[in-house]
Formats: sequence, structure tokens, C-alpha cells
Amino acid sequence: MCLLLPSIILVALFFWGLLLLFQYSFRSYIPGSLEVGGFTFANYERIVDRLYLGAVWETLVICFWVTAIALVLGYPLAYVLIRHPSPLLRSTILILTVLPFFLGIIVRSYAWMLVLGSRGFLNQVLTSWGVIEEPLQFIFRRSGVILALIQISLPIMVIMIAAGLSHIDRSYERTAETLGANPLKVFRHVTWPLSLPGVISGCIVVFGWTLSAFATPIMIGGGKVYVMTVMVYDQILGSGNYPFGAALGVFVLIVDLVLLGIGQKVIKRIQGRMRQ
Amino acid sequence: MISKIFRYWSRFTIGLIICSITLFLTIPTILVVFSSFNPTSVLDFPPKSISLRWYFNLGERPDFRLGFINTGLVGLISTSFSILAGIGMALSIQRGSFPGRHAIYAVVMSPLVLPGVIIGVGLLMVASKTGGVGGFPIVIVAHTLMVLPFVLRSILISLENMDENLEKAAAILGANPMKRFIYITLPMLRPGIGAGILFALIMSVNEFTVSLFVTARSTQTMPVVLFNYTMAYIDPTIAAVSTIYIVITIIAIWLLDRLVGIAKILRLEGKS
Repeated sequence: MCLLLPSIILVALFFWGLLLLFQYSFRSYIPGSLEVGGFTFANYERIVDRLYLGAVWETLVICFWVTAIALVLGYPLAYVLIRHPSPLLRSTILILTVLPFFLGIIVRSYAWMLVLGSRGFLNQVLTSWGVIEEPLQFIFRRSGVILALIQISLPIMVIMIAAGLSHIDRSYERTAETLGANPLKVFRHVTWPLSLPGVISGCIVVFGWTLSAFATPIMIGGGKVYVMTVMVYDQILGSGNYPFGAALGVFVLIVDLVLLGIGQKVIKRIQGRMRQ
Repeated sequence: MISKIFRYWSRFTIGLIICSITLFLTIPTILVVFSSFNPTSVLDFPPKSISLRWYFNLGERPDFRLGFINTGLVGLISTSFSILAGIGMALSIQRGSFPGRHAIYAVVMSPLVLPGVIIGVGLLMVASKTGGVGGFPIVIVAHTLMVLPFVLRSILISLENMDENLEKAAAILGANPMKRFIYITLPMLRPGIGAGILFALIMSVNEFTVSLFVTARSTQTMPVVLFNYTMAYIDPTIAAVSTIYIVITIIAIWLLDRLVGIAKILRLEGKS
């Protein structure tokens, strides 16, 4: 039991934080003070306001696009990473995928500011090739945030799909081949369905990460791409309105947990069907 | 003949697709390195000359120096705490049988999936209740919580691969539990602990979102300093710091691969 003591202390502090978040969300705000007033539902009523519902919508739209595109880009990369015969190519892809995964979010978001700026890399390349005349605006726009978040979540998508692919028993595919299925058919009817658990857990993680993303939306979006996390930050560190910030935080947490729950259910169902 | 051409074509297209995806993944990082050696604020591509002025600027700014010291301090302390907590927890999860150990495991792993903003706000509220807002203790607690999932995973992998018979043999030969732990278990866990230390250092040194909420000006870690700097100025001083980060990360990943194998940590090794 005493082996667990350090972890228990940490877990207790963590829970205390979540509990306080919950508790503050039902308190009234006294402007200009960090002390809070009596019990109220007002903070939750305020969330159902156009601006804040707009932020929820903005977040979900960004999450959807990032997850969808990361899946389309990540699957081929994961497939080559696991299945390509050349070990050199496999380890090159592994390193190129893993490196950005371990680089901090600030470094990576800053890198995208360099790429997307009005005199940034992308605009310089496109203008010099004559594709565009005027620089495109990505910074402060949803498109820029989505583009950056795709690259930032691609490594984890590739890793999750690759983990799923690496656990597929190859003999199923060989059997299908022996039975005369062409490669496309083998992929469609054998490999793809068997890789679904990896694909879905990849999608859940990427969706969850994008939902929790904060540095990228605020750095690339400059506060103009108003997602839920930026909203919480504004209330807590901007206005010092702890109760309302806490209510928004609880809301983000619930959305996150519901999504995780749905995802787990879907994975269980697919695995159950595979066993049959 | 036609099928041969078709096969070449499909190979070529697949190669092209893979190349473009990898380029998309790596180009931003490469640009940061170029930009840090570029003499002007706006990056010319390809660069016309090389300059170290942003690296010198780095040395002159006291906020960067403080951020660097804080990051080192917080990184080292939270890494040691997380290793202690991680070893204890890994042992009690693998060997113990008391109820609730899986629940604690799930909670310890949860910072991987919960939004950093929420953890940050929660810990900020804990700090304000205990009067420790912006102090080192809450920053270290935050970092330990954030890196523990990675540490725990690497130690658990090591522990699962360990042959328990060695400990049993030592017990039969009369070694007490303390001696068994020091002379058998700990040395056998070395790769996992090594990987855990590297993981924890990488994650702590890069941790941003939670740090933003729990640090104050005097306890700011490097990512928070960088963030505040980008909010005020846009010049490649950040690129210089980022390049240092990139170099350190590459070395750490190389070491991690030598110690336990990246593919193993990421669970990429299976049936072939």
C-alpha cells in the first residue's frame, strides 16, 4: 500500500481540482474579486448563449475536419509503416512520424505560423510559382487552425492505426489471396475491417486531442477562432471569472467524456462482431 | 504489358503520396531550423546568408534565462517524483491484488485524454485554496501528473518482460524483500526506468497548457515564456529556442530507441 502512496497523493490533488471546478461552476461571480458568492445555476444558463454555442459549433467543425483528413492521410502512411518490405523505409517513416509527436506544441504551432503567415513559406512558394497573386490569409482563420492541427495530430493517428495493423494475423489475408481475391478485394474485405479498431481508436484520440487543443487555436487563430478551450482561458485568466470559466470547463469535460464513451462502445461492438 | 505499366504507375503514385504526406509532416520543423539562422525577421527561402543573431538575442533576455532555469528545475524534480511514483505503482499493479488498483491506474492515465485546460484550471483552483498560486509546488505537482502516464507505461512494459523466477530464486537463497528489490528487481527494470526518465523529461520540458495556468512570472517554464513572447513579438528568437528543442528531442528519441525501442513503446510490434 505504501508503494502506492505517491500516486494516491497525486490522484487526490487531481480529484480535488476537478471537484473544485465542479463546485465553482455553481457559484455566483462577484466582479473584481476571486471570492465567489452563493449557489446559482446562472453560469450554465449563460452557456446557452449564441456566442458560446457558436464556440461549441466552431470546435466541433474543426474536430470533424481534422479527424477526417488525418484519417485519410494517416492510413496510407501507417500501412506503409507496417507492411513495406524495406526496413530502411519503415524506420525512416517511423522516425519522421515520431519526431513531431515528441516536439512541444508551442514549437509546432510556431512552425505553422512560419508556414502560414502572409509572407510565410506557403504564400512565398505559391506566389513564386504563379499560382496566386495576392497572399492567402490563413492566420486568424479557421482554415489555418485546421491545417496546423492536422499535421499536429497526424503522428498519433498513424501510431494508433499502425498499432491496429500490426496486430492483424496475416494468415487471413494469405487465405483470401489463395482463394483468388485480388489485392483490392483483400484490402476491402479483410485488411480494412480488421484494422477498424485501430482506425476508430485513432479517430477518437485525434478528435479528443483536437477538442482539447489550446495552443494551436490561440496562436494560429489569434483569439479570432473561438473554440471552447480558448473560451475557458478567456474567462479564467482573462476576466478572472472563475465560476463561469468553471462552468464552461465542466461543459468541455462532459462533451469530452461523452465522446470517449461513445467511441469505446463503438469499438466494443466492432470487436464483438469480429469475434462472431 | 499493360498490367506491368499499370503496376509501375500505381507504385509511382503510392510513392508520391507517401512522400507528400511525410513532407507535410516535416516541412514546418525544417523551416524553423532555417528561420533560426536567417539574418532577417522574414524568412527568405532559400536563405541568402547565415546569422546567429537570434541565438545571441536569446542569451540577452532575462525572461528566457529564467524560463530555461525553471524548465530544468521543474523537469528534473518532477521526473524524479514521477519515477518514484511510477515504480511503486507499476509494482503494486502488476503484483498486488487489492481492489481499486485498476481504478487508480485509469485515473493516473487520464491526463492523456483529458483537456489540459481543464487540468490546469482545476490545479489553479487547488493552488488558490492552499495559498500556493504560482508557486513551485503546484507547478511540480502539475508536471508530475502530466508525465506519470508515460513513465508508468514504460516501467510496466519492463516489468511485464521480467522473469519473476529470478526473484523467487533470490528469495529461496534467503534474500529479504529489500535486498531482492535492490539487487534483482531494480537492475532488471533499468531499461524501463531509463525510458521513463527520458519520456518524463521530454514531456515536462515541452508541457505548456497546464503550465500556463499554474505558473506565475517567477515560475514560468520555457514553453510559457515562448508563448508570451509570440503574443508580443514575431521574430526568430523563438525559432532559435525551437531549434535547440528539436536537437534535444532528436537526441532523446535516439536514446529512447536504443534503450527500449520506439516501436515497442508505441505497441507497433505484433505478428508478422
